[in-house]
Amino acid sequence: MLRRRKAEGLMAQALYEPLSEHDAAFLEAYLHEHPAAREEMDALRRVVAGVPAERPPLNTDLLPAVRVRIEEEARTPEWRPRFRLSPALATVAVLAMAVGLVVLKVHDTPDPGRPGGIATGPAVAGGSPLAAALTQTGALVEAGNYADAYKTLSGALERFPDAPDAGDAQMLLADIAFARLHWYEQAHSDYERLFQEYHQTWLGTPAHVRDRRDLLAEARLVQFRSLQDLDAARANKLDPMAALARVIVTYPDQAYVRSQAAMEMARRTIESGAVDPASPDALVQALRHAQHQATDPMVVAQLSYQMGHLYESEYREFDKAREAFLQALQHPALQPQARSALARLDAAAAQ
Amino acid sequence: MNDDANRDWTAQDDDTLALAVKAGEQAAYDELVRRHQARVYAVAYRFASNREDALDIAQEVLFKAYRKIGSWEPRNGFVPWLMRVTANHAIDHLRRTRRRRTTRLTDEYPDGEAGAPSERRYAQPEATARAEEIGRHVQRALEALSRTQREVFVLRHYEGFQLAEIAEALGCSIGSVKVHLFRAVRKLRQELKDIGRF
Repeated sequence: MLRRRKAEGLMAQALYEPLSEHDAAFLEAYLHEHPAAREEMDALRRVVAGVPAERPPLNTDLLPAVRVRIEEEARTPEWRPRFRLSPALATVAVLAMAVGLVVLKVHDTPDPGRPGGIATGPAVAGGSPLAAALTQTGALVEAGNYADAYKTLSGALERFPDAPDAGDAQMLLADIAFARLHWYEQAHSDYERLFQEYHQTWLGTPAHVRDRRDLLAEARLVQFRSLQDLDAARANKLDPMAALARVIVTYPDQAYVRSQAAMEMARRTIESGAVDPASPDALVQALRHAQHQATDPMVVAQLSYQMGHLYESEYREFDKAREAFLQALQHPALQPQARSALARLDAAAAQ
Repeated sequence: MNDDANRDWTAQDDDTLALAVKAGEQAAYDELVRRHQARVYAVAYRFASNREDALDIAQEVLFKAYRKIGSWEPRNGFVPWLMRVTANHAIDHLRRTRRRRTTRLTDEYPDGEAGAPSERRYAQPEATARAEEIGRHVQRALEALSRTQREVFVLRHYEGFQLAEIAEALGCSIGSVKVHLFRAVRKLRQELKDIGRF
């Protein structure tokens, strides 16, 4: 058995790399004794020779998008980089910095306040008919005049829908509508247009921005009321935790919004000082703390689900993830999500 | 602007660049991205099997690698570490999304489109069609491999890693790498026998 295992290992090695004299002699002796193994060796050589090793071509430069992500991260509060949210949750994590994503591409000066700031070059060609509008929009956004920024850019884009930087302009419009103006219906249309008409730009956007399209599609089913209620809960000065819990209970079919409300509860918990933000698992601790305070079983289950998700995707502690998903399974509203997560863990474990 | 900011990073090797990134030099990371983005994308593609997910994964990996550069140990090469991050992330991404797409690389480049595989420029139509057919079969066959088999095969066959480098990247023994590679190629043979070539 051990001899066969060794021989198979050497067969694999011999497909790609030269063997030492000693190993080559061992393998040759083995193949001599086992004609079937020699036959298999020949067949495996044909497989290796016949599988083209050509790389699929990368026809785009990922560096600009990576720079934007890095710049985004540099602007977040200290504890945020520790989070690795699910794509859906990441949507919320970047809400406050959404517009900066594209504005960065409009301005060509590094952030002077940050050592080692990125000198992000302008995304637009000097001769583009949209260049002036993009610059003006960037200035309006920085001044906090979002409605005028939106109006300026949408007018320009209407006139020059085929400009080389029209995709960037469409993305900026969508970001302003979503993150600054909270015009969710408009944002939904804008992201759809970005997806449909400027697909190359769409492909180059960070995943968490692209997830907004899914979030908005789900919220559209309730005329975006779920997102509006989430905004209201965030703005609640009296008891934001209770308001966020109500969002979870009110929208059992809005998985994205429920997740965001739960994560917001965790953030509020961290900001309250109940959890050390420097702790590597601050977010899980915060979710657990929020869970202890929660009274509604559905909120408790939702917070368990979030913990499971973090354990699975961020910490890769699959046993803990399973335990948390099993707790979430206790509430009927969370059962489909929890079952799906458990099945995913099972499938991964079986691999 | 300090001297490092003006430095010609293109002349530095990968590990020097990675050390500079650890020290906070963003420009050094830009150079690493330029050098390795195609490789990261290629590995991501071998796991994702479609261009859109592969782009998503590659972009995320390049960002994640920057964030986690502090965990890279100079005694290990930067590229094996990056490939490991790529494979891990690709697998996690697939587990999360569970999107089952059927588009293949060769389906996504209509004739005449810029950036189509270079083989189109010179190959005979029959040969091209055959190559595409094999490419589709291989990509499908890769999906039949276990996670580790796929990691080992992709890194060895497509990326040209030595077995010892793979062992280092995956954190296992060379013996284990050999066993996974053997099983991977054996399974590929089974999966590819339908096209009558292997």
